[in-house]
Amino acid sequence: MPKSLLLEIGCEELPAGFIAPALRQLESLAKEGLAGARLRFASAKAVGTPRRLALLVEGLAESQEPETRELTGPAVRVAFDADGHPTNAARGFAKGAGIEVEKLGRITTPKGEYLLARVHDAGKPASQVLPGLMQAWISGITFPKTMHWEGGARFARPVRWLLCVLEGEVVPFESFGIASGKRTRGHRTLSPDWIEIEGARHYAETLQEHGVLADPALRQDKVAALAAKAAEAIQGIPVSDPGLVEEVANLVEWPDAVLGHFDERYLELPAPIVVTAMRAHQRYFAIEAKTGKLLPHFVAIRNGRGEGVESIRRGFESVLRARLEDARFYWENDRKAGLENKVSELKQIVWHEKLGSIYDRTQRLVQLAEELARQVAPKSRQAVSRAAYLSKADLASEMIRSGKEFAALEGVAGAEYAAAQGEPAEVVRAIREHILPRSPSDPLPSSIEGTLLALADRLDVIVGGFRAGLAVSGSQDPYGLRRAGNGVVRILLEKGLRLDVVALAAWLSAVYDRAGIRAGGADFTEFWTQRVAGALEERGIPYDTAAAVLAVRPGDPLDVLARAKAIEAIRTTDDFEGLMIGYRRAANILRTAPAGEIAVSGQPLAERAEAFSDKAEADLHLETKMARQAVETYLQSAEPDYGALLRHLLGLKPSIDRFFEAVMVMDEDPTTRKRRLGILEGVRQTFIRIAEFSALPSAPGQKSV
Amino acid sequence: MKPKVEPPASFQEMLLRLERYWSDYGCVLLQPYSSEVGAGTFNPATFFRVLGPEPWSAAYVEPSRRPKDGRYGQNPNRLQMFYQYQVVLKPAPADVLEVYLESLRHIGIDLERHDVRFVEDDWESPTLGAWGLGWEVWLDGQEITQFTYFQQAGGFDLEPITAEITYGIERIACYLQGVDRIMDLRWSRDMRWDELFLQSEIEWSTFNFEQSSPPLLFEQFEKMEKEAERLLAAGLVLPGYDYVVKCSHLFNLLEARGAISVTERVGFIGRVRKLARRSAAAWLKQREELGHPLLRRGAVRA
Repeated sequence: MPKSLLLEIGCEELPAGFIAPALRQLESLAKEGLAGARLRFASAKAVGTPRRLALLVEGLAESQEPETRELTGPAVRVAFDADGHPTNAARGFAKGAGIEVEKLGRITTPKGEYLLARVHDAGKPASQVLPGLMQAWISGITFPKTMHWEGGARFARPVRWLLCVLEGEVVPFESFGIASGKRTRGHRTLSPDWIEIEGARHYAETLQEHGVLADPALRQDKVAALAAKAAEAIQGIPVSDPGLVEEVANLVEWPDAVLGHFDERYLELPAPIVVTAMRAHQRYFAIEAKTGKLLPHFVAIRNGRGEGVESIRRGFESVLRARLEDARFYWENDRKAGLENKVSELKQIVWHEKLGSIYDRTQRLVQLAEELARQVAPKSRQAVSRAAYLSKADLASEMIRSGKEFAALEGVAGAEYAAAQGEPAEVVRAIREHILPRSPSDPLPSSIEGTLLALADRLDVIVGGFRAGLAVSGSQDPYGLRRAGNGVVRILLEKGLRLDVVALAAWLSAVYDRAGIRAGGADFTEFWTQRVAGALEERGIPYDTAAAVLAVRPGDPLDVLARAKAIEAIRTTDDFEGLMIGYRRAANILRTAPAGEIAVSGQPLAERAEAFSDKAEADLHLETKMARQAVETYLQSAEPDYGALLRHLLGLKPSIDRFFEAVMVMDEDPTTRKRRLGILEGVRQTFIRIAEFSALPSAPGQKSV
Repeated sequence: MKPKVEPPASFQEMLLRLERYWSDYGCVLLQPYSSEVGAGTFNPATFFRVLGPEPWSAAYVEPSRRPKDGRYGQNPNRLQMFYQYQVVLKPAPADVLEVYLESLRHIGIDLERHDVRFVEDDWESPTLGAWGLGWEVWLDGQEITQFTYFQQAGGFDLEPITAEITYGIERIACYLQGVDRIMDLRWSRDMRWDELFLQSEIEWSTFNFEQSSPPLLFEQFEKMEKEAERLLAAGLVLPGYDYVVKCSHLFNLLEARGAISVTERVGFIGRVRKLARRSAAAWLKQREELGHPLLRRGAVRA
């Protein structure tokens, strides 16, 4: 009869952010572990709270599936002596496999005949296998940071009990020096004593009776519903914040809502500051009216239920008051000082010891932002330049320098101070938006000024980072260079902006050179190519097509993407494959030919028909020349039609084929040989205006020639 | 539900209850260290005793000086000198959180009527080369205690692990007395906090921010650093460490005065940490040479 299994790891309060990843790991460790141990099961689900990580398995088989394994042993020629008696090799193998020598079989392989043992494993009862599995799963869970508390064990926080029950029976094992049992604990204050749980089927219910809602999904629903309901009482709605719902749900075992109030005069502060005071440290939900206007209320989630709401509310309100008072103190001091005056204070703040102060960085940002505006939005030049000049000034403000929760308002605070000193709306918006996107899910800047400043900011981080020797390696990105690079690609692609980033990086490098900051070792183009390759992959472009287009002019991601899409559109057609057969042949010949013999055809002498010894040579030369002219004409356009351009190249197929049929490139006569190599080089030079086509492997089933 | 405990009438009554509680638990009750420190962790009763294999349980009040946090007695929650109540339990017992929560009950916090939360907090003291993992303990959203399982001190891995419980006692007292400002706390039956300490806050804030002499402080730092090195080299662990603690306080004073730039800051912290490491190494060696006397005592008692 299928059984149910319950495992609970009882902990001291785990960090909220550790819970969901740990539960995901526990669930997959269990599923893989059970399958690996040949234990069938119907379902496995992990649930948990700050004090417990639990696993519930239903429909677990009573014992392992039987299995017959075939073990290959020594070669028959060494397994028996001249008299046909088994040697030590044969006896050893039989012993290891647990069967008698006489029962060994044979198997013929291409390498010869070998001994074979068929071992039947009837399978052990689950109760015998589970203890080892439990220990493996528990020690298999990893955390971003672990500690130790007694003996050699490590976990995110101390483990204080282990509950493990298989259909009412304890599964006995020991981890962290603790023996498993049937006991768990309820909510710290609602039900502080030990309780017993009979099994998986009673788990959720028993814990609920003791003040614990074990399923994180249920707690999240409850938090969201409680917050909405509490806000309703004052005709408000909680400011949408799914991340906060998830975090708060993992800070409590039993959520309950408390509606609090703060003095209306704090609403004179900019809304993001007020929301941050509530959200960042205290994890309160801000409440807004239907109009979107912030209300002087909040919803806090307490851990527990029942009595004491009044005193808890007073406590929550008093902490928030202190935080808002801090914010007001900073806000007023900073406003008095003025954002403009903070710019010179940036000279005192080191950005990086090799790269100078934040003030130096500001100077570069102004130059780069102006250059970007010159290229794509000349009318915005003044606003972008001004925004760049002020963009980092908030780093010298008390609000950001406090190191308090408001430090996260970089950019936002600057925008508020800029608005307070009467800067134009587009400057304010650019300062606010230039920090976007901070993550792949963040929105992009909405204005062109914000967009250009965001690009300048990120390019300076990357080029400066390389100068300082902060290369990116492995999965590490401690200085955010990769994040910055991905941000640039995303902005350009999603905003439809055409900019050659490789050229811009070179331009910015020259600014660093002039400042006497020497170059580092890392290669920008390689780094950049990887960033764009990632974006192409996200858009479904196969790796090899991406590599082919990125080998040529990788600077402008929109252009790279357009070329990739054009190639993808025809890549599987017979025409294209046929063309590629000829092209690859040309590329191979060129690759193996002595470098000194390759020169592009196109010299006046070579263009005279009589210089060609074969019509096929003359035809290919002429058609290539025409194709090249067409390609260059297309490339003149701001947005080349790469589809049409590729069709032009397809037109070269017949003459390439005829060329290879008619002539032998590597002719004995050096003049003839060089001329023919020159014609092929002309073909290659035309093709690589679009992509490095030789990076494209031939389609399956096609023979390369 | 446990019987409700009446809250203490004054700050000192609360303190007496904490002392009683931890004394009953078996802690050595100590008095504050005699040198200026930023936190009870600097007291040798924590910094040294967490090192090595010997068991240790102690509790004490520590006057903690944070020159930068002075507000001339104007800010209701910020002081340049406040009191910590420090408990160290080594090894940390398995029920240490329950024991701690019980201490809150003992000083009149009715846990069923409040929101008690253990919020993740990684603690680190760069000057002591010490770090640990644990929580800020929240009472109705207010941080009232820092709870840390020490993992390293003086750069040395620790075994067994110590639990350090640091109560913010002015905050807890404000809470119990229902006052918003530390200045309004009833210290004893007849005295308020401001009557005792307000003038001191004003004077020390003035000293810390305006009147301290950076050249003198820099000179003192150099001299104290040399003296610490000399004494540690001479095998005098406790006197040597005393001078390390003085260096740390001088650094805090210089920082409050704005005399140390961001880049210099790292260097100064590194210098103190180096001395703290040497002190820790010297202490470990000394205890080993003494044959870990507290370990032997533990064996005899058992």
